[in-house]
Amino acid sequence: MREELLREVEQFLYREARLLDERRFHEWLELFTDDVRYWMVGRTTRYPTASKAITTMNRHRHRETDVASDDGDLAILDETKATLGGRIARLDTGMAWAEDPPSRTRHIIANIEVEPGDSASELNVYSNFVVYRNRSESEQDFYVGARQDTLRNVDGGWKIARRKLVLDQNVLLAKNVSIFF
Amino acid sequence: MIFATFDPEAPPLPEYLGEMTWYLDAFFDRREGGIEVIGGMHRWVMPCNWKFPAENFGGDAYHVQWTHLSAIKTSFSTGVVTKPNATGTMVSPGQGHIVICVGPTDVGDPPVPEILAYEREIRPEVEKRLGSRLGLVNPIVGTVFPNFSMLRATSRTFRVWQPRGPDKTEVWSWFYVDKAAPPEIKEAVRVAGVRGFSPSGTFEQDDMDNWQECTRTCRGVVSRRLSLNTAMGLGHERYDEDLKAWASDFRISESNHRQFYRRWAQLMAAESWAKV
Ligand SMILES: [Fe+2]
Repeated sequence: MREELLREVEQFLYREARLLDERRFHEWLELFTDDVRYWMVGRTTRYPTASKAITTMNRHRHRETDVASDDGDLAILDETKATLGGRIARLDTGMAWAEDPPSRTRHIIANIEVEPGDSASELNVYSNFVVYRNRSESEQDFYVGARQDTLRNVDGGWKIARRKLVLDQNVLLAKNVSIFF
Repeated sequence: MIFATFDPEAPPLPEYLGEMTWYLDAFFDRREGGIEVIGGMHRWVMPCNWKFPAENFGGDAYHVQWTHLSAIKTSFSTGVVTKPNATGTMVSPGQGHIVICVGPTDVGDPPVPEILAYEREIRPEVEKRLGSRLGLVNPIVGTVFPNFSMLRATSRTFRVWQPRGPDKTEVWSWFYVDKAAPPEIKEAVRVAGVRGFSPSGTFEQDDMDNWQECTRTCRGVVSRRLSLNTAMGLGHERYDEDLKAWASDFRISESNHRQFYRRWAQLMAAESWAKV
């Protein structure tokens, strides 16, 4: 992978994070393709298959992965571009109380890896996020997890065509997810 | 769905539920085969007392147009408009169980065209199973006393409000669908749930902020000196023989709050089940 391309992807992701922290949500939405799927999968707590708790029972019935499946299971977010737009329109109504007053967020994006995508115009991009959210007087939350993005080159610029978010919590310790990742 | 208790003195479940069983059927037994649960569950911790969500799901019809107007205007299908002059009644079959009902012709389903079409299609089967009471009320959201709530409108969820001390509640929330529903309806219910009633739900987010602030406000020095006022619609409620429940004359009423907290106070003051 060319150094120049890595830099380009990094700058794209950093700029995207800044748009979110500056609450420039309409500009942020423009970074997505019309066919994007944007979702945050659920997590569970599972025993490893090698665990004595499992080996004493029927291990073949055990599903080891603690990440919910991409389809059919509950997710924390499961959005299209239209529903992301709906969420942003909701914030604009002046009656979206969970974000009134708004959260102060800081998106730290790290561990960026760039790999070739399924087609010549696409890249698979991995990154980690630490999102700090502070609101009102003493509310604060950390949302920490991984992103698996597909970036697509559209008319010479990058757009996000797929974003899977994996949050590192089983029981969500924040009271809600009213921000974007 | 299994109900259990550690209390050996507790009354048997049919007695505990009483006439609430019909209202539970109106959520969970509308079609042959009953319901199934969509894979996984939502668990999250809210900074509020458990009674706020419990009373909200069973009685708070009047918060919707203020708390949720932003979501009503921008979520789901914009082609479906909530009927502005919806009728309905607050219903309590007794023992603290409370249900919010809209009128029999008001929309009580997630406002997604395919779900509404599905509901029209299965209506004859539902009417046959639930009987003539369904021609009087359409139960859309409610609470089995004390902390089990269910919802049909907007999303199809049931949940337990697990108290984690006086000002923390852990939500255990599932989504359910008619077992006999086609796969595309099950998927429509899944996404309506994730998008509407979940930690990120465009409806539920704002509820949680309310409940948090209600809990905080109740801790104040001055508010602790005052009684909570739940007098809305007082005197406009009666026992309805056809509904087999206490019912308010108007949909905007705190009659169910009174039923819920009266039972709560009764149980808190009683030494044993025998004395209730
Ligand atoms: Fe609500």
